[in-house]
Amino acid sequence: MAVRIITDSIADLPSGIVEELGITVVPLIINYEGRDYRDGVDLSASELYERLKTSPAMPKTSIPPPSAFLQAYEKLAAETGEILVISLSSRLSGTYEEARQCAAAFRNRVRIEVLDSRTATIAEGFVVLKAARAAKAGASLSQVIRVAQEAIPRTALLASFDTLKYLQRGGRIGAAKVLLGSLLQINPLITLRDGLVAPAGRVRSRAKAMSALLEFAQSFASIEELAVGHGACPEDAEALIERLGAVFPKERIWRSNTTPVIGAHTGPGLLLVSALGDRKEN
Amino acid sequence: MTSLGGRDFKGLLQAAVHRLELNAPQLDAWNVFPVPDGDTGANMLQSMRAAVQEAEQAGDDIAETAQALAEGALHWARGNSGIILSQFWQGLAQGLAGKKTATSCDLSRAFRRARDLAYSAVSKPTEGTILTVMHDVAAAAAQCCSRFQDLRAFLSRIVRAARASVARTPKLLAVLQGAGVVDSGAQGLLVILEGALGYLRRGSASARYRGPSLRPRDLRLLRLPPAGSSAVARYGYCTEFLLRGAELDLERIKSALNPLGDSLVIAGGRSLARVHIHAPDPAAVFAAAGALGAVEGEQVHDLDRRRQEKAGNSYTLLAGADGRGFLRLFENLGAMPVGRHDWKRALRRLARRACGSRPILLPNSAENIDLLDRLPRGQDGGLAVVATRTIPQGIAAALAFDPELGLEVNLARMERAAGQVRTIEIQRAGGNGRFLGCLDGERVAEGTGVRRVLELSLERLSAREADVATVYYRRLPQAEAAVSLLRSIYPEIRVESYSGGHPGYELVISIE
Repeated sequence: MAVRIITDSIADLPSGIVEELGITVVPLIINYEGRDYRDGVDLSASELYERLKTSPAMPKTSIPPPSAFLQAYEKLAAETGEILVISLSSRLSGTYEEARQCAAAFRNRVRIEVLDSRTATIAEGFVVLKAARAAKAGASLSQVIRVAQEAIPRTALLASFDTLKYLQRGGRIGAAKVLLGSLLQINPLITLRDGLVAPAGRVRSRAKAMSALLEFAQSFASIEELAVGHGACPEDAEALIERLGAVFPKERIWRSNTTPVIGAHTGPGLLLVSALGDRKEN
Repeated sequence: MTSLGGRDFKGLLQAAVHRLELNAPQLDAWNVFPVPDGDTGANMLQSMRAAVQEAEQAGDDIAETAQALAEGALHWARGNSGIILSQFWQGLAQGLAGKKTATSCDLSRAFRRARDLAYSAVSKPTEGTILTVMHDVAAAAAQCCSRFQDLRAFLSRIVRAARASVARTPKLLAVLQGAGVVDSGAQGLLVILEGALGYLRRGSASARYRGPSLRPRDLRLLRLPPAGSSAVARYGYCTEFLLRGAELDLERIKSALNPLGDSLVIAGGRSLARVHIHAPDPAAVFAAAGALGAVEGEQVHDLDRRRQEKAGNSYTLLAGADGRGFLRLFENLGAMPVGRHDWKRALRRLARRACGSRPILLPNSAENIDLLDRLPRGQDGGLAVVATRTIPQGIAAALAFDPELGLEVNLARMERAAGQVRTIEIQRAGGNGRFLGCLDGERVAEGTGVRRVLELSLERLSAREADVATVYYRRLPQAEAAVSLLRSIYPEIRVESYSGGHPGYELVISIE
């Protein structure tokens, strides 16, 4: 009975990998125009952006309902004795706490550990990927946890935004607030630090932001996985992947159109690079 | 409005969270007590956001809403102020128990209960903190509730009292006075109350964001002793967890844990308590707590490391600049602008190390660089300088600055950014309508009329890789002429204009 991995939809894993490694994805919820949608299941990011153009309503996002975790635990408890849940940063969402609370109900039936990835989006996905591969190879729960914990500090991401208004409205802007209210027109660069959104720079144009994303990828001595995420700007993402080809084989770069919940917090125009690897020494 | 129902209470809480979001970075910057680790704002925001989300799910009686808020707060509280605040909500909920709506006098009674519970949560209550504000708020409420039955008037009296109370904190707590700040937790409570009042005034939860909350003067606030010096006590580990049990006795928990550390705060009731303590040995805390109940959701942070990180990266950017627009711009970028008449004096002060945090100088003119070069030998050793010769170079450097990074990395980034900007400056040459054009500080053109000289200067420039041009002007018509000229020469470049107002230059143009 191999260890089974559960994660949330924010990890933004390609469906091929989810199936191949038998990962269970619990979707967060996006409430839009009075209806609840499961993140990436009932609504895609492109649909959301399309509707945002014509509707003044702002989407609200929330953690998965307890039933989602309880059902996932129930289903896997029939198949395995050990489950590892990897969540997005507990400082950005209550998903981690909820996964833990729901696990308490299974205390006597199955061993469930919940790990806070302290990151989000594809960087979280990389942590899940490492853990799921180890689990598939037959590692024990404590070994899988160690693999995931070792992966966390090796993930990094840099994101370029067109505007921070969505991040601010969603209340996740954190220390990146210093990038607001600029008198000059800037493209803010954002990262996650200690599980929270943090400022990572400001450049004067989108072209310069793309160069900064490329330089970020170049700052790694070795890259195991590389991904490009975008919010409704596939052309820019492709152009960036083309340039990233100088750093890492193009065909191995993950592409993601983000999930609606991420999109609701970033808005369109998001362009992000995430890597699993080792940074160069300064 | 003379009575508050659950629905409006929810709106008022949402408005409070919103306002807290806008102010959290400021609160972080002011966090010096009990440990200067710069997270009060983040902790309070996170605790409040989660608690208010719970409250939103509750029914429409004020009692139910307050109860849900208190339970949520207990569950999600983080940090010293967060836990004291959760206990405050607990008291408020007890004071409002059984009520559908609340009048000002009901609220006043609830505030009193809230204050009492908050004080009881802290093992060694310290004045000049959030507790003081809770005390003053409860006192003000008791004093004015029968006179001001209109809740807006009532709450505005309370906010006024809270503001005066926050302003008093440096007088009560020496460490605040030394750092030149008010207590961040106290300020946080004021922000919450202001948000609530804003809701009653506007009837909506939105608050307007007013400018950047991190201002240059705040960058200088954290005047901490150097990391590792023997004068600084070790703070140990911030240790937080939930304790579950059938019959918890908070006083017993307090006396069991008190010997194990500092800043002990315990909130909660008979079945669930949240504990916060700064302890040298978290394992000993968990062991002692484990004997009293089931420990859950343990979190441990190394306070000394976090404090050193914050203290090590405290910089002041000093940027040479004149003209109202440029001064504002540098302030907006987090730098402290220094006019050319003050530059010399600033250098002398820095040479005597009169500045609290590590200074980085952006001279932004050849004259200012000259003055730097003329500093007596041995006095310029400690100054970090990015030798920017023009204001646009300084702006590019300030944009590239990242307070989280080390000095060497920052200097390299800033130098590179400054090197990627081309600057054209147009200034008067005598009084007969003649002008001089400089490219990157070198004179390249002279002639009659600003537009003509700009044209000549632009001919000397190759800007193939550029995508943004910014026109900083003194007079609007000249700016318009420059913008249209740039657009016709470089149709694919984005052109912005901004009032710089430098008395020495008709136009300053950056192309990058």
